[in-house]
Amino acid sequence: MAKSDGNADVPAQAYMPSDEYRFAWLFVVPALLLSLSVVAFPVGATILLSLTDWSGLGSPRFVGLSNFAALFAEPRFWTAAGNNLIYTTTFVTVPMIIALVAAALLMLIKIGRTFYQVVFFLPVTIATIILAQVWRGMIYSPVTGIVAWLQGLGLNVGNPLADPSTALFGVMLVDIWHWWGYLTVIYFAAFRQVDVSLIEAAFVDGASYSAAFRYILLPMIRPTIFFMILMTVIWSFRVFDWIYILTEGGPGFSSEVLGTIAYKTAFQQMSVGRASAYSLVMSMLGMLAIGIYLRVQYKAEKQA
Amino acid sequence: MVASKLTRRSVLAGGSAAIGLATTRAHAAPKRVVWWYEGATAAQQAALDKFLVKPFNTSQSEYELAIEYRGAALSDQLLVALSAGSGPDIVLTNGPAWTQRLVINKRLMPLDQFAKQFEWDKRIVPFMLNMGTYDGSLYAIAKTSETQVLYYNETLFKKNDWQPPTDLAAFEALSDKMLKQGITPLAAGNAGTRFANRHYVGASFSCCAGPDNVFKALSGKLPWNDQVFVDSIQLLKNWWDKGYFGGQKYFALSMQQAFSLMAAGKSGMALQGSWAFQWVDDTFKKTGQDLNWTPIPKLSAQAPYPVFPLGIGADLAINASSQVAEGAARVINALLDHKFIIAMSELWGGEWDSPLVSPPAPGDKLDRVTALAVKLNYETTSALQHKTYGYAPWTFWPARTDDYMKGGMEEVWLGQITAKQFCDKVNEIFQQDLKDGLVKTLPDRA
Repeated sequence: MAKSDGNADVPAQAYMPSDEYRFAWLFVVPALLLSLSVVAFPVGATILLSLTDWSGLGSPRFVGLSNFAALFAEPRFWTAAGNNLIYTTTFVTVPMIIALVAAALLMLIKIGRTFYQVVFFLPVTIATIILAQVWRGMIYSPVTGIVAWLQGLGLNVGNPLADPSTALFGVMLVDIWHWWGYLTVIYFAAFRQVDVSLIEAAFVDGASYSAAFRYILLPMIRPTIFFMILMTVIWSFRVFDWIYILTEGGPGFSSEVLGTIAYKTAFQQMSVGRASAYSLVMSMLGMLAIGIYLRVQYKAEKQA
Repeated sequence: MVASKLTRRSVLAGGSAAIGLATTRAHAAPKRVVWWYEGATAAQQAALDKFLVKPFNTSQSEYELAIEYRGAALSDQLLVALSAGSGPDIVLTNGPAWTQRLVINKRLMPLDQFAKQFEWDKRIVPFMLNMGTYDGSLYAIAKTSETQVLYYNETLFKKNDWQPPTDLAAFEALSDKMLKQGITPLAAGNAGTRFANRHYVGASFSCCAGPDNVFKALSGKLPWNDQVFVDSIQLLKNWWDKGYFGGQKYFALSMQQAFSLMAAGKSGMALQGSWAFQWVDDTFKKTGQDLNWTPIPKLSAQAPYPVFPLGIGADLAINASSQVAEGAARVINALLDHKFIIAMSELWGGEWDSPLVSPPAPGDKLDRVTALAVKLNYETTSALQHKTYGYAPWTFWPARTDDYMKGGMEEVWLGQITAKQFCDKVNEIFQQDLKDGLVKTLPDRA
């Protein structure tokens, strides 16, 4: 049942005369139509195309579930799905922790907060292609990058993108570097909304900063953390750009994710029907991950 | 009778209207001919503007050529636009495999009428015309004929008294000598250009398995997992293991960066395409060392020598929905002009080599590098006429097989699969493509 924020036990429609409520849904129609036209049509088209052998041109031919059967039998699909899982798991943990610690440290300093926030936030404002080229050419490159310089010093350092066992982690490092600052600024803003008197009272009672962080700050910004985790799950599950620019899914197929396979299948193999099946499975897995997370979160909140 | 109703006034009115219409036509804005091109540097765009766009637009008043630079995602954009029945007038496809898809789905216009009008049927090499012909109609003209050769740093070779290798034994002996001196034998890299992997597959298939075997396999008469192809891939694996490609640096260098290492004498040779001439200004001209090329060595007893693996990097076609087909055909015709080809060779080598029956001959006035590029273009045409050509994957293999080769070859190099497993997979995908009618029927080699 829908509930208002202000009075949780009173149904929303109780605030409205019954005549007005009868027509209230009409006000939702424009936004609903807009949303449906943007979301429902592509989703419907993707579902239908996944059941065809459409090449992107000409008429699609119905092939039933054979696209799904083919992709489940494809080892590359499982490699990519596994990589998606690693990517998402890493992103809901590593940058989250870094950002929370950084935001908490920012709370401790009085001078230079704005400067640090600008510096942390900066990578998010720069185009992915530029950042990826900077990392590939100026950091990872064994010819022109920091890796080359370290090798010159005699250190046994290699380009992580060139090794199939580290390529995915090499990409994740760049993405995490670009992402954690954004989270930091968000968490810092959330921390600043916490009532200062609560923290001061804790300090008066002899609490340490780490105790105040754990028992006051963290619980108070839980909705923000929850929201950012949810968004991170969604964003990281559909990762494409960083992988495609930095490794194109290689070496071999070691850093392939579902997004890059779907793209290559559609535009390089001209198998749009098969690519739609990939996209659909990617969406289903993403929704499953979100569903599991929401369930766990719901249980945790209920217990709390 | 209509004549009996004519009056002085109506005649005058009709005359005025005719004059007005003629005047309007005389001053009508030229019709735009749109060509979506891939990415190009500012200098390259300026060269196209100087040698194609401006001369074309000033030579007549009916059409105005407009080139839009769409970057690396051109093929994606074309697929979406053509699928929707729109897109540019001049369609630059990724080569025959792509063109065939577009022809099957009726997105391109037959060019037979223009072929007669501009005598393309007499001026273009028959093999290349054949590659653009589907069901008896011409649909595409090869924008440039490409080939692969063994480039080498001539300054480095002279200094060490090395000779360009002509067979496998000489190539491997020389490569081993280079390795001992700390020089990477092959300037190679695929960062950002992963398609480079199948350059080596194509070169090895053509010069190790031999072009006759490749022809049989492309015609469905020999499987891709035949031992001759497995041996070709195993050869590349052996070279990788010996360090000929530079080890993991291969994944960190772009093709051009690798080429610059050869210009600096850190690599000795490069198995590269004719397009590599466009990198000379930024590499060899800067280091002051000399570049030269030789045909790819004979890599097995069964392969002939020399073999020039032939490629068509891009096809030029006209959109079926174009309203200015005549103008588009005139632009395509302008690309076949000797003056244009030579001018572009000097500024943008290796990308504007139309496959003409009579290509521009290397001239005395050309600088050394341009002369090398023109000579290579000449040799490519000659290879077609003398049947000493091989097959480049990006031109003759259908899209799915071609795409698999990019990642599959890396898996072989990294030891994740064997040469046999790679060939099995290539064969599996290719046979399905062949069954689906996606493989171009090739001109006979006899």
